[in-house]
Amino acid sequence: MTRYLVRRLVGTIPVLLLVTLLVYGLLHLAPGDPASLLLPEDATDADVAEARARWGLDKPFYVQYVYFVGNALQGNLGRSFRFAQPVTELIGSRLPATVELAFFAVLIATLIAIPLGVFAGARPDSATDNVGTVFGLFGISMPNFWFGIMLILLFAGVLHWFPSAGRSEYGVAGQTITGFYFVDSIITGNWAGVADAFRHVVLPALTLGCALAGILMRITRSAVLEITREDYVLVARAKGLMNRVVLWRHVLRNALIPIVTVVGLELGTLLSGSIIVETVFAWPGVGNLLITGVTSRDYPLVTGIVLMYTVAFVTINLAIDAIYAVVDPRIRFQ
Amino acid sequence: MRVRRCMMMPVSAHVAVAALLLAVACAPAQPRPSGGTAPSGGAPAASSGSAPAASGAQTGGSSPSGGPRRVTEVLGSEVISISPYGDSASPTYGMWMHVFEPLIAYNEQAGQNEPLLATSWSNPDPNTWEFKLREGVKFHDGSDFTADDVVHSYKRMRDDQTSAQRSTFKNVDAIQAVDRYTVRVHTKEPDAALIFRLNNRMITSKTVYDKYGSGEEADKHPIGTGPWVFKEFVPGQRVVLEKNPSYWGTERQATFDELVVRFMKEPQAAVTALMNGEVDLIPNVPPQLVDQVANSGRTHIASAPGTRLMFLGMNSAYKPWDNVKLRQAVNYAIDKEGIVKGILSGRAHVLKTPIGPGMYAYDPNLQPQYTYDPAKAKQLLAEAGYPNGLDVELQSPSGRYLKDKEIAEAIVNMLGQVGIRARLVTPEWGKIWPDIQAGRSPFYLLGRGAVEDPGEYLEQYFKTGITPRVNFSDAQVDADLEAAAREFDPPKRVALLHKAMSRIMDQAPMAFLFQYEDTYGVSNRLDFKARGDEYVYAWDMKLK
Repeated sequence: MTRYLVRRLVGTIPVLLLVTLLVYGLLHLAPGDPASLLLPEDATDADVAEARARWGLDKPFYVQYVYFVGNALQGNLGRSFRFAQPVTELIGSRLPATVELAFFAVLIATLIAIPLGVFAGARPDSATDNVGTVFGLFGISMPNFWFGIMLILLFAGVLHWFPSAGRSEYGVAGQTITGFYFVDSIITGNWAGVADAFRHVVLPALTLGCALAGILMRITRSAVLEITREDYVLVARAKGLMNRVVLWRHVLRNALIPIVTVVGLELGTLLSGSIIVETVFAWPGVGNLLITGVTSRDYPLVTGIVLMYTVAFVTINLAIDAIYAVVDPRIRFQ
Repeated sequence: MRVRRCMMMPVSAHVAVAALLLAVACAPAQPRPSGGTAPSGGAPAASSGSAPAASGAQTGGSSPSGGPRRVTEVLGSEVISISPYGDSASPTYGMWMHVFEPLIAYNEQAGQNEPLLATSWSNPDPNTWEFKLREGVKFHDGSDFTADDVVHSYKRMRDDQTSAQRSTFKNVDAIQAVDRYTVRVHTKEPDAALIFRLNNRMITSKTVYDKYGSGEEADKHPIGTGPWVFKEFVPGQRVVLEKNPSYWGTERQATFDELVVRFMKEPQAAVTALMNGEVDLIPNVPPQLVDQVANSGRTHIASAPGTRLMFLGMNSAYKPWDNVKLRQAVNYAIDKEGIVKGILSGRAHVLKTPIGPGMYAYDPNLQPQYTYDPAKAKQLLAEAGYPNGLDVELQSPSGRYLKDKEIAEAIVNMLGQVGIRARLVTPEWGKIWPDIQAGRSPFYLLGRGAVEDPGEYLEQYFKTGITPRVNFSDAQVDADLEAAAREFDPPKRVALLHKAMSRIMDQAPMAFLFQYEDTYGVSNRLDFKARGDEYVYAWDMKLK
């Protein structure tokens, strides 16, 4: 197992190099000069030239890239042009918001999709199945930004149940310790803070989770459908086990492999989906930061964030592989 | 019993998976700074650390019963750093001006500068500005405001590499403290418009800077002289300011306790937050939502003519734009009133001259002027040598300015009616703006913001050799602008600027279109007097 993980980790190095090269190259190919975009309207040509020199933009592309990789290997992703702060610090300050959002999106998705998928798969063509299928299709086909706006209009605009944007209310959120508002509020015993964090996360997490729930429900349904036809399920039923026991203990456990795979793969998609959702809800996460970085051609910031996404994606996939062994004892890594 | 245990399993499996994913997603995290909240001011008035917990159901707009009187304002862009020198966006300056103060302030109504931290200023010679400073003013940490702080601040803005205000001081030679309350600024060339560039250049404390040793560290302690004390900065979310009870002045004295400044990029989302009662004041209400905000019964609109000028640039380095008759034809062909009424719902002011109301040296009767006249445009087009019309390309940003693409489409249509067949292209802002700056765009729609004194803007576009944006060159305009920069007597300077602008209108290197109206959505619990320069001030608000 350890050996397998190490081999996989070594294998990610070329992937990371290639991704950074691609992002770096694409950013430089894209029209637009960071210096003229970021300096004020009355900046002189000399100011622009000076800024270009300070940011190393006057050097050839490959020199810039080699510098970047050299620094990145030492854990230094450079300084953001726009924010004039180290990129690692910027990402670090925004990452808890994105992770918190992704966590609740996955939580909502699994809580909705798995029961719905299991029931739909257990009774194909029933009313539950039809409702589940419609929900699945809705989740898969509906664009994030549209659904988000609809939720805002209904739950914030008409019903006033939840705030329309932001992550916390001033004066309620307490001390920042870990950056995860739920964790911080619980540590400090600030129950109003927990409630506040919850009220803010509901709509964006629902927006983000709904698409995932759609896919997850479909996968669960088809896996359950397939497994209920297996011989051992027949045996279990023949032994006289209750239907619920058969379903949750024997069927679902075996259906978990494709479900875990999909959650893992979709978590990557979730990260990119959160770029849009974060913008719609003014959520101060990494996605929001990336948008700012792209519009101002902030090369170090954009490259740093994409690198972080890649690392996250690779690590998640690795973790999913490791989870297989936990979920299904038959799987062993060589 | 057994059944229940089985039922538990899938749920606990979910939690385990989710918890693992959470842990995994955390793994690549870089070392976090000590929390998202920047260190608090450290000033005696600022209560640092965690804020008291209010009731959970609290919405941002209203104050907790019996708690501090609070106003929540939306900023359309993010405050990116805690340094007032780190950004050059007007809304950000507007926020910092509560904490820090400049020597002088621009009064839009009067169209002139007024004393603030300086009590008076004069020009002992054309290359010297002398400022007499207000005595008895204290910083938030209790230290005295003196000439040393002014010299320190101006030098830092000029010399610090990360300063976004360096261009203000490009013509400044030396900055010196004559005595404890007198500062002199020496310029390389006589510069009558310098005073207009200094009215948003904020003074920070030299003591604080010396104490922390570097700009980066000192900026974490935003200690100014202003009526509001910095309390909290949460990156990506908000800045919170608190009333300064021992402020030196009366006019800008805070009338409520807390000002929360939230960042929201989407105007539509800001409108929802306003209607929802989460915030009290939002900028840039989209025209199609103005009626909704005005008629909701809980909110209203406040507006003022903005300082952003919109125009069509015609770069004479490219054919056919070197032809003055063609440029004049474009001016006659555009129905500006139609654009303002039809596309912007009347929320803009037609520009009759290179500048508009609220700006220094504005004269609505300046001649010549171009009124919509398609027949005249066709005639000029024929005189220019294009009796059968011609094909050109119009570049316009899309989404940079309010309804910019729609306006460009209308212009294409109007030009087409007189025989100028324009093809519209809308490159991304990251492409079009550097192109215009480098003189690579022959014909484009653009805006110029933050115009109070027109001197700098006129020189930037119309003085020979300053920028290649329209490549305009005219000996008379050059001479007049040069003389205006050296003329310290206001009436004489205004006359010179008028002369230059008349000539510019006649030569038509641009078609001046309109000036946006700045539109704010305001909660009915607040009275607000809008300014045109995108600055939102707490002293322009009255909490009911």
